[in-house]
Amino acid sequence: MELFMILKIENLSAGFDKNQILKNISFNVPKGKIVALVGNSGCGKTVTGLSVMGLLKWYGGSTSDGEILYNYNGNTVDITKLSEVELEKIRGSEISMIFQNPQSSLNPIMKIGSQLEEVLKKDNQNISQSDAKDIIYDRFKAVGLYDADRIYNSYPFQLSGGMCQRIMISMCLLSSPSLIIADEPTTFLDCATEAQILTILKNINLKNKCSIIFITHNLKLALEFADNIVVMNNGEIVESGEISEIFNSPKHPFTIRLLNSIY
Amino acid sequence: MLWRTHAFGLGRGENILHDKRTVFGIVLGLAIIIFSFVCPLFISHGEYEIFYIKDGIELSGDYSLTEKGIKINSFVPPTASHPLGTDKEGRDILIRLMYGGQISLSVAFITILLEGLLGTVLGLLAGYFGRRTDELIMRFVDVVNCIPDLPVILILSSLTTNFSVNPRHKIYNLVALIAFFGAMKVTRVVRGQVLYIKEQEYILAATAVGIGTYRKIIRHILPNVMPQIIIMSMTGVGFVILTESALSFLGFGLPYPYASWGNMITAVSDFSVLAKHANIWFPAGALIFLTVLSFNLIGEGLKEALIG
Repeated sequence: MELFMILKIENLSAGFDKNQILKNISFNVPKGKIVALVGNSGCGKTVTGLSVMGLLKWYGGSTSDGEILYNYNGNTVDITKLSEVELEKIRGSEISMIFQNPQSSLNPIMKIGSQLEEVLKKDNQNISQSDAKDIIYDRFKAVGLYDADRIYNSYPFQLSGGMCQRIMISMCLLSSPSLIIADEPTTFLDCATEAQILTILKNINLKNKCSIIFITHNLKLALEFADNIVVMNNGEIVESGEISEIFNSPKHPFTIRLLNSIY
Repeated sequence: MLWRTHAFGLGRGENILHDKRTVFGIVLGLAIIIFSFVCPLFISHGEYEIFYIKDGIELSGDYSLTEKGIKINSFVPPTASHPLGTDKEGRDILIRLMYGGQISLSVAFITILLEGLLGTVLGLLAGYFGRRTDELIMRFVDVVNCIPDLPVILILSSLTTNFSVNPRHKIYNLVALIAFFGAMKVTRVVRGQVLYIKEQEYILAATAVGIGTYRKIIRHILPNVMPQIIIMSMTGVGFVILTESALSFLGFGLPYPYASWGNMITAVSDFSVLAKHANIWFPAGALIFLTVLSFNLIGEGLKEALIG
């Protein structure tokens, strides 16, 4: 695999039992770039994200064919062939995922602080309470949460959706992954918060050189935010390329229809 | 107070002390616990100490009935020295009620603890790992549920009598069996709840940030199942006390002269006691009733507060 690639999906097919969702898709994620996965509902965007995390079997699905090659410190590993134990090592510390609904992504009966600490202690068991707190407060600042003390001691339902999504992002940042899969991270948020969250993700992308797969149904957002775009329809990739290509000379009728729907 | 119920994000999120019935249940439960475990510390007479009478003066301790003029002080009506009187063998009813309470309550608590522990572990395993583990555990539960528990307990109880096991230890067999059969119900409830919690997005999110299986089960799933377990246990306490009393009443529990509420009621098998000496059997029955009532009220209150 080329050195500048972080993820390479080749001829991937996946689905649930008889229901084939992904049909032979291939695309690449270069290091340090944001790749937007655009398509209408049910076209397999989330399934792609879950396959990369090795989480598809959580929903009873499986990858039937193809490879998901991940650049693990210079070594190429195929995620579809890893065992659950090996996947646990990669999840979080290498690839992390942010979900649609931020408030239901946090355990309602655990304080935010202890949830974040748990993630931190996963990699570093001997870390002291105060060190952990410092690191967490630092990450809070990175995602624009300045009321750190209160948030640290709050339960998820005491905070707004935007705050919870920032917390989810800061949780991802704790183990500094090389790839973040953001699965419609702003769908449940209002426009202003949406813009803030995207700015935060962009900053992380620039600062940490972390690649992002940005899953969205909103082509407009993708055009503003991403470097590359992959357009999906019905479990197939209809077109992919850099933003300027897609925007200036769309080839597939579906892409043209998506573009026309923006303005 | 005790419980930040709102933290479960499910129930009405109210302080459980706002419900008068629950408060009544808690007070009643505490009173019974104090009565059984604290009061005996201040009384010099033992559980099966027999009171004698000689020339109108009451004696306690080791006496031989061959001594002239000495009699067992039996069927004493309630008086100042014996607030609830004495039974046929000259033993003080009130003292026996206290020691009987110790047996009933500790049997109930130990049983519930074991039952909850076994049921929770099995339920978590079945619910979380699914597939073959689930199939194996749940079919086992089904099979055990098909076995009528009462006959099995009765048979085992008579077996232990035949093998001359220390009567004090017989009670542990009871505990183990009631707990084993009860654990099957807990397993079902816990499994169902785990299946639901497992599908929640926060468990998926925890997996996605790399939380390990063990931690996920212990730190994320178990605390979310706790309300159900607590409620089941609280209502279960009442059930175990009733079972234990019923078994003791039938003579399969703790044998006389050891005291237990169940075997104190056995006195009604003597018709004259039933008719003339209500002070012997009524208090034990009332205590069983009140104890079960108290735990059911607490369980109901917790249920309202925790899961609505």
